[in-house]
Amino acid sequence: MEHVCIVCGHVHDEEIEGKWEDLAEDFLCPECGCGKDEYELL
Amino acid sequence: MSLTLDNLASALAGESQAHIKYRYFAKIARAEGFEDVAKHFEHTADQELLHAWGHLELLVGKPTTEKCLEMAIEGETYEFTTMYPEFEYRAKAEHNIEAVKEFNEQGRESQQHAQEFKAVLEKASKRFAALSKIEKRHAEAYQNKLNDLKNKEQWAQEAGGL
Repeated sequence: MEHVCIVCGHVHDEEIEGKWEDLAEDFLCPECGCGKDEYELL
Repeated sequence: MSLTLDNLASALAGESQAHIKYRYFAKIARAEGFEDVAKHFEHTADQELLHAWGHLELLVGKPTTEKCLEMAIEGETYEFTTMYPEFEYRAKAEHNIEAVKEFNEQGRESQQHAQEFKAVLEKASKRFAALSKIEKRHAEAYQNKLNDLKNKEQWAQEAGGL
């Protein structure tokens, strides 16, 4: 199960960017600037 | 619908059919070893495709991607709710078993296509919504920078006036 940005397809890497649950609410996709809400669990 | 729009729709149907037919004929010719004939059919098919696009452009203009998806859903839905069920019914009445099977299968495939297009449209809508949020953030960030600049100018002016 991975968190994938619906706009640019960026896959959140927990090893590099930290655990999904620990991310701040104002986290933005490093590639396109999407918010956390715009990630889908695939 | 005006006569010309009707004619454009007929011309689109005709050119589309010619395109499909020539692709099919090319396949037959190639299988029989007539590569040059196959190429000729394919060359003509490509031209028919461009003609069909020309007619289509006059009929629907240049719709947005969202509108294209809506039209695709509408077309596939018509196929599986109206067209194929009617054709299947007629084929049954005429005891054309092969056609019954074909219409039945194609109807189900159209239904699947409609569902797939709906899923794509849903995903695209989510993406558009996400993009508009990003643009809003960008606009706010620019506005903040602009406000900073204005404040600095004002300070500079006030300091100069002292």
